[in-house]
Amino acid sequence: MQANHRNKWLLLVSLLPILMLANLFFGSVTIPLNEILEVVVGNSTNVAWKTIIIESRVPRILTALLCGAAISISGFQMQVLFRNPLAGPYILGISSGASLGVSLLVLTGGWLFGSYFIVHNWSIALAATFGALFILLLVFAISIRVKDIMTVLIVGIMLGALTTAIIGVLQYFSSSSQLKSFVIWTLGSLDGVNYSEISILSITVIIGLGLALSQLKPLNLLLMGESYAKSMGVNLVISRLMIILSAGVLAGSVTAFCGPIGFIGIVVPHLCRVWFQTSNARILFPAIIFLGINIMLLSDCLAHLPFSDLVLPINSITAILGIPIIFWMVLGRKKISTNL
Amino acid sequence: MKILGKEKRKSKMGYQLIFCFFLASLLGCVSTPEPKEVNTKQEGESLEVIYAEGFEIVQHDQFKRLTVKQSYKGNNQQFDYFLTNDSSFLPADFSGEVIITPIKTIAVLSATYIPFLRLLDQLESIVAVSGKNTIYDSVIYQSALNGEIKDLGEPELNVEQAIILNPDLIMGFAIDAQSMSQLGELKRFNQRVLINSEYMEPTPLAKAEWIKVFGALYDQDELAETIFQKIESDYLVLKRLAEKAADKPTVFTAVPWKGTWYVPGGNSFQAALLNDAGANYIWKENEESVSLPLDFEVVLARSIKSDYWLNVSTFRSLEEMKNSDERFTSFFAFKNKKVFNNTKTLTPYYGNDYWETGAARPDLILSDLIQIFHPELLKGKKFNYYEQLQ
Repeated sequence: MQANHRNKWLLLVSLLPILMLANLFFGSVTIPLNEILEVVVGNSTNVAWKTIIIESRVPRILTALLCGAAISISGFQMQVLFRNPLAGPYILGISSGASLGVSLLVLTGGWLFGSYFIVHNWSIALAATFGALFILLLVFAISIRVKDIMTVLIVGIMLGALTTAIIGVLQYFSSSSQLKSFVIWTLGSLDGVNYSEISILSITVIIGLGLALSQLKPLNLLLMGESYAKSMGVNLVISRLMIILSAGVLAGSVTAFCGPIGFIGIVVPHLCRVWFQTSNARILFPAIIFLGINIMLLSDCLAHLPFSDLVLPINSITAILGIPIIFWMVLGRKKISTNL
Repeated sequence: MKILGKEKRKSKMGYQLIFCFFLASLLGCVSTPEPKEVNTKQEGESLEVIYAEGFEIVQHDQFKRLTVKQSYKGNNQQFDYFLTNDSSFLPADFSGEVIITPIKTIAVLSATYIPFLRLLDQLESIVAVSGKNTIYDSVIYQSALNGEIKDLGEPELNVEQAIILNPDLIMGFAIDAQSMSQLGELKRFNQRVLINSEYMEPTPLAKAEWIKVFGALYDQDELAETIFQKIESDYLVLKRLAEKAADKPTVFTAVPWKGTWYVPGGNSFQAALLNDAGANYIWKENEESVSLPLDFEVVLARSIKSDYWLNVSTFRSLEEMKNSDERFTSFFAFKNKKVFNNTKTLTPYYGNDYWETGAARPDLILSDLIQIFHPELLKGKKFNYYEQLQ
């Protein structure tokens, strides 16, 4: 068992630099290897290639790192908290909240906020953050008043349905170009996140991961049932709030900059649980971070279709990539929800 | 030209006949091809249509037959309209919509029809529009705002309002089967609907030539012809002027959204204008008429050194562009402040005369583009739609 785990860790950790380099080397524009090295050392004379590497590919890799870790951990926390294998980072309506914020901005054509905001890059991130925060605070308030965690889950899903309905009305009345902008946002993208945004994203992700790390013990105890956790000295209300806050910060900040990144948050925790055959949060935490990042990097590499001029939406890639893996695991090991 | 058109039709009919017989023998039953199409097609003289591919007008003794040959991409269904002062003149076996001309009232479901009516001096016949916020024309916009002109609404058509208004003609367009069925809904209530597929024409002069359809509807064929000839000659004079330019500066267009850059294809309306203005469009070799969804990297690698950057969404200053995406500053055109946008006529509610009048008056757009690429050729002229971003 132990030796087995060592190989798994070795694979997870060594894949990371390989995938990062793959993302640096492969893209829609083919840049010779020695030219990439020239850019890295700072000797390149080709402005186009220099800009592509420094302003486009490197920020995308950094975004993939932050995004992969944040989304997967956020999904893991929600699955354990609600003891529901279908839960993911967006189960509490964070993505619907963010979508509502963005749709109010994009689909009303700046009518609500003034036309200056619609073209500013920060405006989308701010709109998404406010939308997600609004829903998160609502869920927060409810989870303080309501003791039953399943009620919180149902309320979260209801809020999601409500925002979807409002977005539907907005979409109905918007022009085709506005609609297209919004749909592209909902498909997720790691592109166009610049360095100042990455620095903000990394701060929020580090805070979120730190919070998650501090709640590993309660998470492990929650697996045994709420009453057991309580008897072991876990303050249920505080822990629950901390976990929701952490998951909210992680998923919300990623959604603000990259749009709702689907699938990875649900699948990666399951994959790690089955692969490592444990539900111990102390082992799963690092495993999920590494696997989440690796899958995110691989998806982004494929989304930019090496040797072609086109880009595919990242959410389609994560699903196309992930679902066969899940099927393969389900068929091989029968059950993936046993450990929840 | 005219003879050629008839020959073409005859040979097409021949094929249809062969196909019908083939079909009949295949099904094991004998059917004779319906003769009514033949009757109305034989006589009459085609109106000259030089550039447009989407319509055809045949002049008969007492009526005109207008055929719209396409409605949206992938649908080649033809629509026949019989334009006449008195429906009793029509042949007994016609099939198609009857429109009594000259029409007195019209509902325009696209703002691009307004300039055609302005050119023909028929603006006052407009009784309804669709989506008043897309309208640039200040008179029509004001009338729509205070309710003198009704707004039939977007995206779904207000059918009841249309029936109450009961205009002589409702002119609209379809982009897919869904929007087509919306227009079909109006026909169910005996409304006269004309499909206008001007937006599908690939060249600027072909779009402008649709003024002949408007002319036919208002019995102003000669006026429409004269106006078109003027626009055509102005356009061609400008085009020849641009050909004289010594150099052809390189140009690229549009801005990316979330990493994807929608670039007009090499056979698009936009590409044709840039080419006619004596510029070297980066994607002119491409053969698509629609937009291409390209990766940011691809556009950057190809156009970082281009001389000009045009049609940058709704950005009105370089500062705004920089705030939106810092990578924009890498482009040489940005560094050299050679960024031009068609936003001079943008209204606060996002109506834009570039899109409205642009279809009817490509000569005005071409004049702007030549001023951008070759300012020495058109000294002392002012921009109609473009502005240089500062």
